[in-house]
Amino acid sequence: MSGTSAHSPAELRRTAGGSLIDWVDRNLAFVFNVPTVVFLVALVAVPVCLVVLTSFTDWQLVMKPEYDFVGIENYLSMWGDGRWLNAIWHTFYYAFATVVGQLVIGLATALLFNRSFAGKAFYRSVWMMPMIAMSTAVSLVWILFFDASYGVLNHFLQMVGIEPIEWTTSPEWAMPSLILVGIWHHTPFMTLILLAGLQSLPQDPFEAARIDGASRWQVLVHVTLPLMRGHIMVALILRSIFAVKEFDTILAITQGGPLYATETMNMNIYFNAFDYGYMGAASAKGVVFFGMILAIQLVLVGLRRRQWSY
Amino acid sequence: MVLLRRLLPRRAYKILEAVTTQLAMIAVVGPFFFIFFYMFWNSLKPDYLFFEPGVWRFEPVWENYTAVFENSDLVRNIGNSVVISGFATIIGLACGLLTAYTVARFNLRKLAMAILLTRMIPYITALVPFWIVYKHAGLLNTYTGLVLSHLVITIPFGVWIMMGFIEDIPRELEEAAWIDGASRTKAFFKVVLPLSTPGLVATAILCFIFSWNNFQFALVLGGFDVSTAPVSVFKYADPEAGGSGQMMAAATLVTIPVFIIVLAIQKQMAAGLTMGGVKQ
Repeated sequence: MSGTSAHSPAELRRTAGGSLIDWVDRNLAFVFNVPTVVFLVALVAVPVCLVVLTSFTDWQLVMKPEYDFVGIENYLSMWGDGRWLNAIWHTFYYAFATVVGQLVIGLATALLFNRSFAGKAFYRSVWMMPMIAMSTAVSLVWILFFDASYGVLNHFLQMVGIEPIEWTTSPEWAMPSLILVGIWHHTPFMTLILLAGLQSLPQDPFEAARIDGASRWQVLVHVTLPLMRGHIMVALILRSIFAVKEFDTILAITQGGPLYATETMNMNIYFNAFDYGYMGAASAKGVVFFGMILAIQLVLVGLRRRQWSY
Repeated sequence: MVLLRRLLPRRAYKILEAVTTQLAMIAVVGPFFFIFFYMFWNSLKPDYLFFEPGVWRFEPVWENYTAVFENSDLVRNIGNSVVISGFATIIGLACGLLTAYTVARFNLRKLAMAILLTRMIPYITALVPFWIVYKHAGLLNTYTGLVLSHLVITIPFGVWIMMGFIEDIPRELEEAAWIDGASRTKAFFKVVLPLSTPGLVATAILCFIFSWNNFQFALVLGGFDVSTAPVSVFKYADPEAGGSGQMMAAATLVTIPVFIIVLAIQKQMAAGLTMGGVKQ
């Protein structure tokens, strides 16, 4: 905008120009973006083209290193692969459950942190810790927590008289266990996004509600939540994109097991490519996975364009 | 609460409210923090105590830490991680600052959207072609290879966070420098760069943490010689790798430094993270 304004020194000295600095000045928007664009083209755009190309081959590292182009065969055959279909289901099940859990706790904590009280800064930094902790490191703690015989969780359950649970070793409890870890790990981020939303709300509706004598609960249900609708939608989609991509904690805690019960799309592609060497098939799955995430992102962009742009 | 508000004198109600808020905060934050407490506490525990989870005896021993130092490649890989994340952060920060400046001042919405798209790519999708190219170019198990792969994390992130900080710097200051005869480039280095230092610090730390925590790139592209701390920590997930005490010692070693940084700069961190999360 101001790049073309009359103030711009490049404009003023266009006639005098000729030195390198003047050239840089005139083409600043180009020169400054050379490093970013070169890196991102080389590290993202080229790999994406390559993975699309590979996805049209039947390349297998061990069985078929001399690959042939097979067209869209990989894209068709994956829908007959029960393990892959299960992985898609697990991915969305995991993402939905973790994000809903994060939303409930995140909203409650955001409302708490939006008030002023003693020691707020301290509590907030403690609250933010899971978000910045290394996922493999916290997975180790959860592994000990989930231990069926000596774990802390079962110890607590026994203290209140509940039968111990086979947390990560039974197919029915493995996924809920990982969801628990996901909620613990990423709720602080949800809190942060919603807190930023709360702090950006206009104050007038709250004043009006107070004058009308609304109770706190009424203010929450009839003023805060409706005003927060846009922020909540954005936070939900944003966290969903991250949850769909979850990999570290799943690999560390269950390795996708038992009986593939916790294998997500990300895990499935990882095993297919780097354990079994099915590079062609794994590439096709990777492209589909990327496509799904882009679709979620497009919904987000569409929402923002309508009314909730910041 | 409403009833209490009417019944109690104003001052007593205030005190009651403060106490309930503190209790609520402890009830909410406590269970979330317990994981870290457990991590640190148990890293000082001899292994046989893990078979009695109810026993809360505190006789700290350091043998878990010495075992990790001796048996694991964790210490070496913490060094590797510092180097790899350090370079990835510096390059990501430089690219981020320059691009964020042009996006903010020239209103390059399309470029911003393109960079947002690169943030969406699942690392696993990029990893297949990365591995193929690295295999041919001999970049597997090298510093160059891992730094390049971590740029996929730091550059888009750096651009997005820096954009928010640059937008907060008033244009008028720059325009004043132009009127005084400075070139646009000079005004950028003499005016915008110093003013964006707080933003750069926050962005650098966030980029570093995201790169430091990243596991997937090094898992696939690293190797015996060059790998990163998360990979060393991950090896302890195998029950045969060492006792529970060593697991917790390894986890503590990579967690504590990050927490110290975060406690030191928590205000800027919150600002930066919010920008990264909200201003997409």
